[in-house]
Amino acid sequence: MILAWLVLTILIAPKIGAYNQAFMAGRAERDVPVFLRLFGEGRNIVSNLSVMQADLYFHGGVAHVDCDHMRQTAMGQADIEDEHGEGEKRPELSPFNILFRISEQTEITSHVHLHGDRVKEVIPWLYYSAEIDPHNVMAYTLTAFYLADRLNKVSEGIAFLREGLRNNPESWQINAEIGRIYFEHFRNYEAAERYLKRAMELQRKVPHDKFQERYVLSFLAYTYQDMGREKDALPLYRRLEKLFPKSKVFKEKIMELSSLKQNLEPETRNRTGR
Amino acid sequence: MRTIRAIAGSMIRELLRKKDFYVLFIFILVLLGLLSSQTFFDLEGVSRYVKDLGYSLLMLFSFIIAVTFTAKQLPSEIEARTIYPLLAKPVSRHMFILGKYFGGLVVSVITFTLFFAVYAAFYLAGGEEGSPMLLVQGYIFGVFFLCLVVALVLFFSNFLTLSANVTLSFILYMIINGFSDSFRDLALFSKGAASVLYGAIYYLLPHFDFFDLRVRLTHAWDPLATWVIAAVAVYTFVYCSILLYFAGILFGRKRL
Repeated sequence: MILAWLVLTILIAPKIGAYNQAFMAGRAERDVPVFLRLFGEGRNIVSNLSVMQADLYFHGGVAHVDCDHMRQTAMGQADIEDEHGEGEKRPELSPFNILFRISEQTEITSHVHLHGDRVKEVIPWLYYSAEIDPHNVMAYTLTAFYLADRLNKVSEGIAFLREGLRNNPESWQINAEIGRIYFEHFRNYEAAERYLKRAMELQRKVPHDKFQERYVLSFLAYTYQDMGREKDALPLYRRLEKLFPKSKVFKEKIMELSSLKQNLEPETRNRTGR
Repeated sequence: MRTIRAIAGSMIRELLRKKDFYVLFIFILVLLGLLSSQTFFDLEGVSRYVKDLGYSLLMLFSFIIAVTFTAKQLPSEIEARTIYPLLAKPVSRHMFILGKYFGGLVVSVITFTLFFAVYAAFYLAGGEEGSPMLLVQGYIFGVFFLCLVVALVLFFSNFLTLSANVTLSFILYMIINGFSDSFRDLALFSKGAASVLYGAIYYLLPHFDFFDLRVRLTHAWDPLATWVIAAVAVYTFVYCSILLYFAGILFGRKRL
């Protein structure tokens, strides 16, 4: 009996891990009151499980706990790949170990990512995730990313993000995503600046990591640069360089903008007669 | 053979009188219809989630019918005392079990075939890269699955009450579908006595997971190799034969 219980515990542990992952995906543990964790978080959990289901679809129905490309891609940290190798290697099976061999054959272990038009298959799960829990910010940003960047449905992506913003007015992620789409897809710099500045302000109020900060600051800096406001872009690039001292891109940007500023200043002085 | 056919025939008539089947059939039809009529941001051809949910429902409903129908065969015959006139005829107890098995199997396969026809219609209408070969394999594996389920439930009904039998079957179904890969990995990655123990457990468990082609069908993976289908068929036959043999022995020793 004890042995059976131990075996069951070992087997259930990874599943509980997935459940916890779903539970924690939306917010930090300390933010969730105990009574909500016990009674009221069901919706949050189901919603995050729906996001995880979308991730599973992104990988052709095969679970890869060590691969987070779907979310990383949406936050600009990686690009979509077609296929890459598996981590742990299974021991060689004897030809007489027939059940294990059947299991090996019926199970799918390839690591693939959806690409092109097939990405649309993740949309229902993301859509339902947001429907189930309108405070699941990730569901809105991921849906908008796939609609705008992969499926050429930019207006639908923006509309969905606006709906998300109505439900989550304090979300820096949704503001940043709207700003990014205005910048990248519409070249509407005024709107992009408005949303990205709001995202920057909101982000300062909540704990975040340097990659999240880079996401907001870099798009705001590019927006300023494209608007011809190098003076506003320069402090942002300096901040980014401070966050990522090894990055050559930000160093080059600072040098480029600094030299531009130096060239512009004598001209301005001449024009104003100073 | 005639005896088996008579017992099986009476079970099919029983199915037609039951409301469960009609309710589940209408439910699967309406739900798949609703799901496939749903549109998301005017995207065309989004079908994998319909195939996924459709297959899950198809297998679950077929399992429900197979378990609930087979589980009550022996207890109800004994309770209603209708078993005595049957056993008074020249029917051996093994033959009786075999008749009940084929009856349960025919009923389950008929139900599954009707559910599968609905699923196949939605699967093929979903377009994309759905493979008819994979669909055929899905049907064959569904029948194998029911062969195993009916044999297992009939075996359990020799020493479990109706409700205990249904509960245990459902628990086994959930554990094996959810954790079979974990059992296998435990056996593969552990060493010494633990490896032998986990390996033995893995061999003893009825592998419902072998018949699950949900991911393959939903995400349009390649069909299985012929040798795998043959191996699964042999596995099903051997496992069912052992279960039915012991079910016959247990039934023979039962005091009625």
